[in-house]
Amino acid sequence: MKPRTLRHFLKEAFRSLIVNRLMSFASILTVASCIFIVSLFYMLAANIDFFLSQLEDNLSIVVFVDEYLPPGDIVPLHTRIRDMPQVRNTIFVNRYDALEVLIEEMEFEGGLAMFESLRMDNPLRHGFIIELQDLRYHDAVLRTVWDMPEIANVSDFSAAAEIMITVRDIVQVASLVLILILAAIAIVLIMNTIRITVSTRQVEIGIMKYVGATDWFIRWPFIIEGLLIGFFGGLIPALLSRFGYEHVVTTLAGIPWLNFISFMPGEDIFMYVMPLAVGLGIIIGLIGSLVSVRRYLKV
Amino acid sequence: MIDFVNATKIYDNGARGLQDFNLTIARGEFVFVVGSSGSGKTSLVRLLLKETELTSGRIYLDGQDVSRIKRRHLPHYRRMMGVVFQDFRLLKNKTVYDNVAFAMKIVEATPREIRRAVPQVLNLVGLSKKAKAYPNQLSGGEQQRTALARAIVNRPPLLVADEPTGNLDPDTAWEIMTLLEDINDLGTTIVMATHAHDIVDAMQKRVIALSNGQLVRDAEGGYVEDQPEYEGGLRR
Repeated sequence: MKPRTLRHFLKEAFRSLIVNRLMSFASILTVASCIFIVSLFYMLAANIDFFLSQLEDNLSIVVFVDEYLPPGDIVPLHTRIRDMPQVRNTIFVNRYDALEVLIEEMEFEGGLAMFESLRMDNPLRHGFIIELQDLRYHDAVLRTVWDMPEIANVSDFSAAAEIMITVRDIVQVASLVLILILAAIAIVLIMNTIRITVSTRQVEIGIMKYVGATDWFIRWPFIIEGLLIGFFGGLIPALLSRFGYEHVVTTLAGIPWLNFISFMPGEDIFMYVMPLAVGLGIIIGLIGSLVSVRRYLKV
Repeated sequence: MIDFVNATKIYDNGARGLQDFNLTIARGEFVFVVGSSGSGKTSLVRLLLKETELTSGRIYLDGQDVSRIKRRHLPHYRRMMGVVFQDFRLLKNKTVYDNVAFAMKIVEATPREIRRAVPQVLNLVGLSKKAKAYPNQLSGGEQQRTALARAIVNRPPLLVADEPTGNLDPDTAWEIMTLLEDINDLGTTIVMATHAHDIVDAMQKRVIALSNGQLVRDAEGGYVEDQPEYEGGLRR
């Protein structure tokens, strides 16, 4: 496509947006509302993910090695656990270091003298802290390590992990369903706008055909018009999220009983919301106009 | 340039457009197509524009079998001809200049070519001073001149005019006919469907008379009084 032809298409598309300004405005607003709701859900899901990933860093499975296991078998055991695909990292904690940590912790609670005596007869076992790739692997890893004869005991967090995974999954599924429903609504509205544009320009389309315009020369302005509606419909919620998110997060962070939650930084959210909102808008606009042009524009 | 060979067009509702129609038009000719309503004039024009397909037979334009032209090549086929209608069909939201330039933009002419060709053709049709006017600011004759300018600005070898004087008063109609003759003198083949028998008589060009989809007369000169089968269609 030559640049001047593209310029002509853009001019025609903008002209049509302005001529049918009320319908165009309504379409842009509807697309913007739909994408704004989608963006809200995305930001909620992203923050839950962010919160979970922070929890994941702190919540790990801790396994204790049988005290009768020969020292030479610890390294192969470590390797087996570390090489599990669901495992991100393992840290070996030997029983002597664990005791030192325990004594140090007790120092603050005044029990130092009692624990000092344990240095002579250490009751602790060697252990591994297992960090997971994802919380959803918790049960699988737990079952595997429990089945290892070298493991004497396991400390886990099944209940907490299950609740968090459920919440995240619900938000993710709800987001997807919502995106599909709202996108369908927006597509129908864009189709309607393009249909009206096509019907108001029937004479022009007829003339274009008589003077030898190609089908795509006739179609492109309508497709660009749909793209523009989608683009503006995506840009508005993207900008609203940019400025609104920081404000909401600052307000929430000020609430005392919520101060244990850490929110995703605004820049990080915007880095994803901007392309998501604008991209979704463009895709919705493109689908709406392509379907409409195919259905209503008989060239 | 144009050959209709045993061309037959029967519409879905059984109406006959053309029946075993044979006609040859040479390059540079000026041909009137006359006949009453329903005689097949419009079918002939629509078939030439490839707006509809033949039921049987062939049409050739510059040796090219029109029925074999693929849909994607249709725009290029249509660029071989300019078209003028009774109702002008101008774009109301564009000026005279832009209406004419529009036809050039569609064939992706450069801005320089447009700037050169549009004033030339507006000068030819006598509308240089109306270039910035909108169609609703023009008389019927001026609107038809604009349509003519748009039809010839890409210099097509063929101009198809469907009742171009139908909406015009006699004086204005004559201005348009003079213009068409000038355009023909420049080498453009003209096929004009019309009811205006006074114009046909006066112009003394080749006349193709149709009745019920069939060719009933093909001769130089004007309207012939003693042809009852199409007399009603030619008399106004």
